[in-house]
Order: sequence, then structure tokens, then C-alpha cells
Amino acid sequence: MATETINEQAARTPGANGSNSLIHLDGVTKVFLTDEVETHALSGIHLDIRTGEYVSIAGPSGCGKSTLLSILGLLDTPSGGSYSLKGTEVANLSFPDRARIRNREIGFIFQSFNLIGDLTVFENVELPLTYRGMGASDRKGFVLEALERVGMGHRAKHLPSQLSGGQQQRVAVARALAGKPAILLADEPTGNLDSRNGDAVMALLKELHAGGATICMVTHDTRFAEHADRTIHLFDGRVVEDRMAA
Amino acid sequence: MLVKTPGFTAISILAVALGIGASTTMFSSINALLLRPMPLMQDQDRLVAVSQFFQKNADQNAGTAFPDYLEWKKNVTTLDGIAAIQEATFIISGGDKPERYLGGQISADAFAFMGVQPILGRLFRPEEDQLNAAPVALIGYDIWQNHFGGDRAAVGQTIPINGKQVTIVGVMPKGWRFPEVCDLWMPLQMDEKDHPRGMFFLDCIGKVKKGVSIEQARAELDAITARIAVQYPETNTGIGVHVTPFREEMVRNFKTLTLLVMGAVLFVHLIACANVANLLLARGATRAKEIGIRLALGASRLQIVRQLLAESIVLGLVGSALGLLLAVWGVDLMVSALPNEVPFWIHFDFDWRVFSFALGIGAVSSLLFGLLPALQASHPRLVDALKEGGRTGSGGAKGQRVRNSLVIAEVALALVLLIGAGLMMRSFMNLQKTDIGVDPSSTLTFRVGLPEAQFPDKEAPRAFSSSSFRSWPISRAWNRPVPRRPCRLRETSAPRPSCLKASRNRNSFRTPARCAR
Repeated sequence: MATETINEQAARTPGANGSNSLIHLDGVTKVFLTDEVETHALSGIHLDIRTGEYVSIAGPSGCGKSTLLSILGLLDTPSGGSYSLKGTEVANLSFPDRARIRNREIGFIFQSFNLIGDLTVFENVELPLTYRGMGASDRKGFVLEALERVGMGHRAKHLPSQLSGGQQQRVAVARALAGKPAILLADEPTGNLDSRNGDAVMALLKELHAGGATICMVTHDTRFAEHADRTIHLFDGRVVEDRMAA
Repeated sequence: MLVKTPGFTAISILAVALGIGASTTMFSSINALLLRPMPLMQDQDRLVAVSQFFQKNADQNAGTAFPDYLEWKKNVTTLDGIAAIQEATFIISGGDKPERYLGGQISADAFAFMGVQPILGRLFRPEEDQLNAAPVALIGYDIWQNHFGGDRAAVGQTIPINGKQVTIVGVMPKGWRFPEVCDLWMPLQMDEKDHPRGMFFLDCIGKVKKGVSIEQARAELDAITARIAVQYPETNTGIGVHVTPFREEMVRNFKTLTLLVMGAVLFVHLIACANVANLLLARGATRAKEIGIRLALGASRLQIVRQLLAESIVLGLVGSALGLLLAVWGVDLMVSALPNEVPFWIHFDFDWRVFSFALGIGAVSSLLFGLLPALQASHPRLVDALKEGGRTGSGGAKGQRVRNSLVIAEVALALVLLIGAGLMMRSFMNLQKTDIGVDPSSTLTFRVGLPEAQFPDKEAPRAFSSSSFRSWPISRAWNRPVPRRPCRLRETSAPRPSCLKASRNRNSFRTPARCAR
């Protein structure tokens, strides 16, 4: 697919110049230096994501999907370009500032769930709220609400090891939701699940989107990518297609 | 988290506890020797030890001559009081069998200016210091309990001490055994005829007046001593006076050694801390994923460091508590290993200083072994840490460098300890080889008391030794005075010639004897 369309794509991306643009990437690059060899993981990414959108980022393995998601999630910094979140430039923030924004604005759903095995379901979901400095009673309300939303309220006292993979991912979704972030970033959320549980998690994400959540999901599975309203295809670190669902 | 890794927690706590236990044991010695107030005495910081010395051997006290003590007492204005004491053997007879006690002949006003009062009866009166005054005695609490069964009527009783009828005028408080391990005191009752100038044998203690510095007192005593030297050049030329804080003088022989051992023990503790730090670094590497998750969810590095340090502090505090228990055992072991009875003012009991030390060293140790691993663990490569099966290992080259540095530090500390121990061992072996004039392996020492009432002749000790020991399996016996050396712990029957204290009390003498082979 031709790359001539990048700027055009950015220009025609819904909400590119709109007032409800949540994320705006402009010429973002990421270069890894290993043994003095430069690897260009991302090469000039232009992207806008509007509030309330459900975007999937698809592409073959090694195309830069996860790198892009890490930069969107402020887990990594771009080598070049600019990244604004809710109108604020965040590409070169300090570590503490990035941590604060991650905590308040971004909810993560990982492929391997990334629950802390020594903490109960309740404590896992509570964790981002604890780091926010929220009081115990407020935290409890938020946690129970999030767990109820994903149908895991009854397993609050269990340890992750006592849950199935699908249930663990639901808990991870609840953790991502609990702090009411601006956007949910999901990295291959069905990657470690069987098809039944995978479908259930996708259904949950769809339901959350229907409820107003902004979601950006990385997947290599085209079947799941099609659940999103908009699919962005990456290839060799470039956006090669940005397509709205029919 | 610590509960969930019991093996790691147990090993870490044990390492910390061993270090803190050893350090606290040694600190309890330092506390006993240098910090803890001496019991019963008032205004201890104003008490000074006063002793004459030969200028050609200025670092050693010679003791004080009785006439010079009297000159000081008469002329000194910077002291509230100055007292002399000579330790002596007292034999109480009259019961089923005679009982022998270590006691002291002491200036009548000594206990008064030290601020110590008897629990029964009275202190000595000034006139009781006179040579021909009626013999009186103050007894210690243990004698009162053991010899008199704690009977309050003991005061006023007359008992035979060293063959003389002596009236007990008071009972001193429990634990009072001034200057070191004495149980009975009688007034000085000396004269210049029997104890002439040039015979340096008394221990003196003074109390500096309020508002007067020790330097001022030293200057005044220096001036008086110089005047005496001008008046009596035959006996006092080249004689100076040492005025030192009383406690400093009492611990002079042990302070450096105790501090050295404390230093060595702290080195060992540092090695223990380095080991725990290494364990924490390794554990931090296995927790990289968990820490990565926490950071991804918005924890600041400060929050992560705080969490990991909290765990270290728990390790440190539990280690402190266990270390304190080990120190209780360690102090018992140390006290039981001491060859001598320790002076009455040395108490190894735990007090707030020892608890504070254990707690403090626990907290400081927590920072020592916890901070570096916590800082290291709070800097994982986030993206890698969060990946499925992502790197949870070593923390990279930087982590490896930190661990290598810790190992180098451990080896360096161990090397310093080893060198120190080697040097001490060499000094000890050299000391063992020192020619002391006798073969200590076949030399015995013992003390014989010859009450004046039964042996009034001044030559009695010499005659006694030459006649009594003839039939013993002894190749040779001496009762000649052994040069006086400062000796702050009571000597035992083990031959320690450098520490022998010659008794110039004509009623008792010490004798080394060579066993016949």
C-alpha cells in the first residue's frame, strides 16, 4: 500500500482538526540503537484519535504496533516528532509527569493480564487508585463499580491464580477502567485466551465503547481488529492504511 | 510481600540479626564502660582521679604518697574534697571460720563528697581518720546480708576484723563496692612514720568545685606538687601529678581495645548488610515485572522506592529485635568469658541506650542494604518488564555492576578485618613470648593476710613466708614488693605479673611462688 497517503490520511483522519481530538501524533519516530545498529521501529507516524473512538492498530509481527502503543501509553518516549494528549505535549515529559498522566488518563490492558499475583482481585484493581492518592472509601467505591462492570464483583477477594484466563483479563479490564481514564490501551488483549474467552473480552470492550469509552487496541488478528470502528494498519513502522469500519 | 517469600525473609533477617546482635553486644560494653552513669555517685562529671607520676615514665600513674596527699588536702582550693584509698584484705573472724573480704582504707570524708549515703547507720566522722581513733568500719550490702543475715542490729556491733575489735557504724547501699569490688571500708588511719614521703601507693579521688574546670584543678595541684618537690627534693624531684576525669582513668586500659573491637564488629555488620543488599538486588530482579506493572499503573519511582524501603525497614527492625535477643545471649557469653570480677560500676544490663542503638543501627542498616537495591529496582526497562515472559532477570549491565561493587566491598571489608585480626594475633603472640622474668607456666600467686594483732612485727610477713613455705613443693617463693602497675580489674589466681598490685599493707602480702618440678 502506498505511503503517499500518510499526510493525506492524517488530514482526512476523523477529528484531525476537530475539537475533540484526544491524541495527536505528528511525525513520531522511534529508533532503537543496539550494538551501534539503528533499528527504525516507527518512521513518521501521524495519527489522531478522537474521544469516544474505538481504534484498532493492526499489522504483521514486528511492524511497530506495540512500540506505537507503548509511546501512546507513555511507557516509552519517541525519538522524534510530537505527541499531544488532550492538547498537552507529552512526548518529552519527565518520568514523574509521565507516571502521573499514565495514572490519570490511561488504562492499560495487557496481553498477559499483568495482574500482581500476590494481591487479591480487589487490591489489583485498587492499585492505580492508590497511586493516585485517593482515600480508602472512595477507592472501594470505584473498585467495586469497575468489578461490577466486568462481572467480577463476586471474585474480589480471590487471588489471580484462582481465576481462569478470561476472568483474569476481565479483572485487568476492571483495573484499567477503575480510574475512569481518558483512553483504554489494549495490547493484544485476546492473545492469551481461547476463542471463547477472547470473544467474551472483545464483547466486553465493545460494550465499554458503547458506554462512551475511548479504546485503542493493538491486535494482529484481523477478526478482532474488525470489532473496532476504525482500523489502522502498520507496516515497517509506517501507517499504510487508516480505514473506518463500514 | 516478605511473608510470601519466607526463605528470603528468614535468611535476610538472620544475617541482619547476627550483625546487629554482635554490634549490640559490643555496644553494651561501650555503654557500660563509657556511657552509663556510675551508680549512686552524685555529680560524676566533677569526680577526678589524682595520682603522682614519675616524669621519666609520665604515661603511667605511680600512686600517691601519704604525706603528699595530706599537703594537697590542706592546700587545694579548687576541689570540694580529695580522698585517698588503699585496697586491703580484711578477715572477719569470730564465726565458725574466718571470712576474707577485699576492702579499702579510705579517707573519712570520701563517701560524703561523692554523695553516697549508707542505708543504715552513718558514714565515718573526720576524727576517725586519726591513727589512734577507735576502729570503725562500714560494711557492704553483701556482707550485711551474708554475715549478719540483713539484721539492722548489725550497726553498732563489734566484730573482729584482722584481729582487732571493730565497731560497725553503717551499711552501704546495695551495689556500692567502691572503688571496684570492695565490700568493707575502714578509715585511712595512717601516719607519716609508717608511710613516709617517696612511697607512692595511695589511689586518690577528688571532686572539682562547681564552676571550676578540671584544667584549673590540675594547674593548682601541679603548683602544690611543684612546691612539695622544692621542699623535699630527695623524694619528690621529677614527680608530677595527673588529674583526669575519674571515669576516664577507670577505663584507661580498656577504652581503646573496646572501641577497636566495636569497629571490627561494625565491619562484620557491614559485610552482613552487603550480603542482604545482594539478596535484595537479586530479588529486585525477579520482581522487575511486578515493579514494571506498578510503574505502568502510575506509581512514581519515589513510591516504588518507598515500598521497597519499607520492606527493608521491616527486615531491619525485625532483625533488630532478633539481634537484641542474640545480644542478651552475647552479653551473657561475654561476661562469663571475663576472667575477673568486674568493678561495681560496670553493668552490662540493657538500658535505653542499648535499645536505641539496636533500633538505630537497624534503621540505618535498612537504608544501607535497602536503598541501593530499591533505587536499582525502580528503574526497570518498562516495556521489556511488561512483555509476556519479558526480561525479569538481572537488571542489565548496571545491575551487574552494582552487584560486582557490593562483592568487591565485601571482600575489601573482609580483608581489612583479616589484616586487623592477623596483626592482633601477632601482637598477642609477641606478648606471649615476652620475657617477664619468671616462667608463668609454673608460677602461682596467692594472697596471705597476717592480722596485725597476731603478727605485730613488721618483719612478720618475711618470716612467715620463709618458715611456712619451706615444706611446700615450691622451688622458690618471693614476697618482695612487685612494682606497682595500674590494674583496674581484680586479679585472679592466674599469674599476670604485669597486673600484680603490690600490697604495702604490712598485714598482708602477695607472693608469687615457683612450683617444684
